[in-house]
Amino acid sequence: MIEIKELTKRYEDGVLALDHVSYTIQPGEIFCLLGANGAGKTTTVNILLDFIQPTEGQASINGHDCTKFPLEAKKYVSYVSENVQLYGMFTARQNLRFFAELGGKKKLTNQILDDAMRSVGLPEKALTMRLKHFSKGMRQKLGIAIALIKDPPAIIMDEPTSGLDPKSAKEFLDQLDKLREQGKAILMTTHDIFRAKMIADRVGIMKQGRLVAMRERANFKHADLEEIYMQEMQADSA
Amino acid sequence: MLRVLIRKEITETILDLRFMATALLCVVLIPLGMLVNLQDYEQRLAATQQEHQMYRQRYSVPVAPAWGKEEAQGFRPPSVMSLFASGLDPFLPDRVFTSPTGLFRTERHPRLDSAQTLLFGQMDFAFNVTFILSLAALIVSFSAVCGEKERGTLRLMIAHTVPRGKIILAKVVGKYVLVVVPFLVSMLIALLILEMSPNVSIGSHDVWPAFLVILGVTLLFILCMVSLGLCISTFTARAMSSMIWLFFIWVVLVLGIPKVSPIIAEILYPVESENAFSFAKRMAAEDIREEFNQRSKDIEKKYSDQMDKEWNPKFIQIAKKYRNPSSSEYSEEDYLAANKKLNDEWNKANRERYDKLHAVMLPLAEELKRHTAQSLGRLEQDHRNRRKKQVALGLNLSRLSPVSSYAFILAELAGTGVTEMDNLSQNAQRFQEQVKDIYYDQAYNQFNSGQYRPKAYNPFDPPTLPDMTYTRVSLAPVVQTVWPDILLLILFSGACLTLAIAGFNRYDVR
Ligand SMILES: Nc1ncnc2c1ncn2[C@@H]1O[C@H](COP(=O)(O)OP(=O)(O)OP(=O)(O)O)[C@@H](O)[C@H]1O
Ligand SMILES: [Mg+2]
Repeated sequence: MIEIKELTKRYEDGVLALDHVSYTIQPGEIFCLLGANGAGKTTTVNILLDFIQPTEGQASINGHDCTKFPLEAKKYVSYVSENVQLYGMFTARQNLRFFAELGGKKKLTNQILDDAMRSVGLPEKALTMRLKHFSKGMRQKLGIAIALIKDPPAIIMDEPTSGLDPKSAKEFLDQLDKLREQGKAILMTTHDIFRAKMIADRVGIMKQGRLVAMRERANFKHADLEEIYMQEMQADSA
Repeated sequence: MLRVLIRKEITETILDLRFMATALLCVVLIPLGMLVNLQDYEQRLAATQQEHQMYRQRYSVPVAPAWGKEEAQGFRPPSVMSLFASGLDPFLPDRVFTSPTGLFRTERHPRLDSAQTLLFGQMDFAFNVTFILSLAALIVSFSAVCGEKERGTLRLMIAHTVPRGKIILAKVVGKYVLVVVPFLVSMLIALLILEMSPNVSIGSHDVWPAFLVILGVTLLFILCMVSLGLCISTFTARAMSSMIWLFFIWVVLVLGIPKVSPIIAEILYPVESENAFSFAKRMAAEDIREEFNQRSKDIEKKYSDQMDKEWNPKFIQIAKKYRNPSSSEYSEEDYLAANKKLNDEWNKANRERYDKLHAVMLPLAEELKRHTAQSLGRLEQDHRNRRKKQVALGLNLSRLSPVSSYAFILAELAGTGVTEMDNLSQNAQRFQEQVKDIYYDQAYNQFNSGQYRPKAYNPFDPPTLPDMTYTRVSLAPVVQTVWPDILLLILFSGACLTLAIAGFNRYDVR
């Protein structure tokens, strides 16, 4: 579903943010991308969503090249950013409706919109609140609701749990579980090794633009993922 | 999809403080400007009418004995459309004086009763649009793209299946609608104000077609400004830098280019001032008259020399014959008798001579008139052409800014533009010719002595002088004149939109 081949990105100032990275994420799979700050996780996401162009290699979603046919590719994906920003003067419902309509879900009733917001754990009073009064976690939840209401086969999330309280994060993981059952391909970057271990089918560890390790669930289920992570980090700096 | 985007754009802008401020400005300033201008117009109209009436009562029949040297006065009434753009109106002459020499002159009363207006600058519709509305359009649109990027919402939008061109289009439409709606509301109020005045009727044929064109052109101008603002916003990453650009570009477009280009034109293509030119014209006319006076004197001298040559010997002869004491016919009595007879003959010959002279001089007078008219006409034409070239150069330079194009179009449509200067001259010329036909040609010619005056004219029963009927340029030729500028406005907004779309296609949304 999400396919990355020899993806390389060198920024204008010479920073090599991605260095020939390849992997594929299947439908019904949750892939967690781990890595230190500046490892190139967001860069990968940005290329998938056509925010920036790769220097070399390709990324595709559902078989559509993200750089050559971005509009086609974006039909099959929704996106949650690490810091969801929405229209401050609009209410939560207005924001959700607008982005749902952009995602092709026209004429949704308030009932459907409200249910979507409740399902990500937004409290009742938030549904008609202006976004400028939202806390970071509330915004994040609405961002997740926006991504889910589009109902695409692939979901890309860049640190979606940043700012979520533990209870909400737990609920979020439950939601991810359901999405996996629905057969969605999910790419999630995170620093939360603990939750990655709980939910991921596969984890990739990035370091300085390279994918230095890839573990199937079977390989880290019983091991300590944090240890693996630390080993990889040290191995490279040595 | 586009509908969704536009709806969002409009809702978002309406909730914005900037929109409310600019809309309020629009709705207050444009009607207010109209009210002030209406009062000014009514005052001017009343003043002209009063002056005209007073003139007619006293001078429309020249005071007898009238020798054909009187000036007839024509009055240029203010144009109704000057309510929208006063343009050159405060500087255009409002009175025409005909002259027996064939040279009319124009004059303007300095209207210092509205000194305050002059001191603070006119706040007419054209000003409100070029200064306030242009700024409002830019303020509403300058952060359309970079502001949304800064707030972080652009990423999420781009992450959806939305062609970037559509986003820009929606932004243009949304912002445009939100500048246009308050503008139209303010126009409506302004029209109500106008309709309440007894001196203006919007339904009349010299108002509503021009008004519609003005409305259309203003809508186009607003589009130019909105697309310009959008264009700026796609070439900046932050709203603050966009605002600095906006300020800079606004000053250049609204104040810089329009004000500097005539000065550059003057440097590139100097033309003598109007005062110097009318002085030169008068000197030329005097030179011609002098030359003709000389010629007439020569002819007169020739005739009198001829008389002298013919008659002096005869007088000498009789003097020799009768007054010489050594002559055999010496007799004072006979001399006096002969002298009287000769004198009678001389008088008869002299009268004949005058008739012949008259026959020669009348065509000469005609020729003088023709010659004066021709060479002054040539001078005038030449000067006018040079002036026109300079003005055209200045205008062309200023057309770099859509603001000048717009101001130019508006002034032309309001009958207060550059063309109106020509129109005034044409009207004055027509008036001059009318008066010449009715009066000057009957009563007067260039040789001031009066001895060649047409005989049928009775100076104690002068004809009534006509009123100047002032015709304005009709809409069709005006539209033809301003068509290139309308095209320029279309091109400008098109170029800005294209740039904005191109800029946004490469825009870094992160
Ligand atoms: N626009 C840019 N221009 C130049 N270099 C950039 C740009 N954006 C990111 N980089 C560099 O690319 C590298 C990868 O950045 P990236 O944002 O992908 O890291 P990340 O893995 O998402 O880090 P984090 O965990 O902090 O979010 C970093 O070294 C960063 O400095
Ligand atoms: Mg990141």
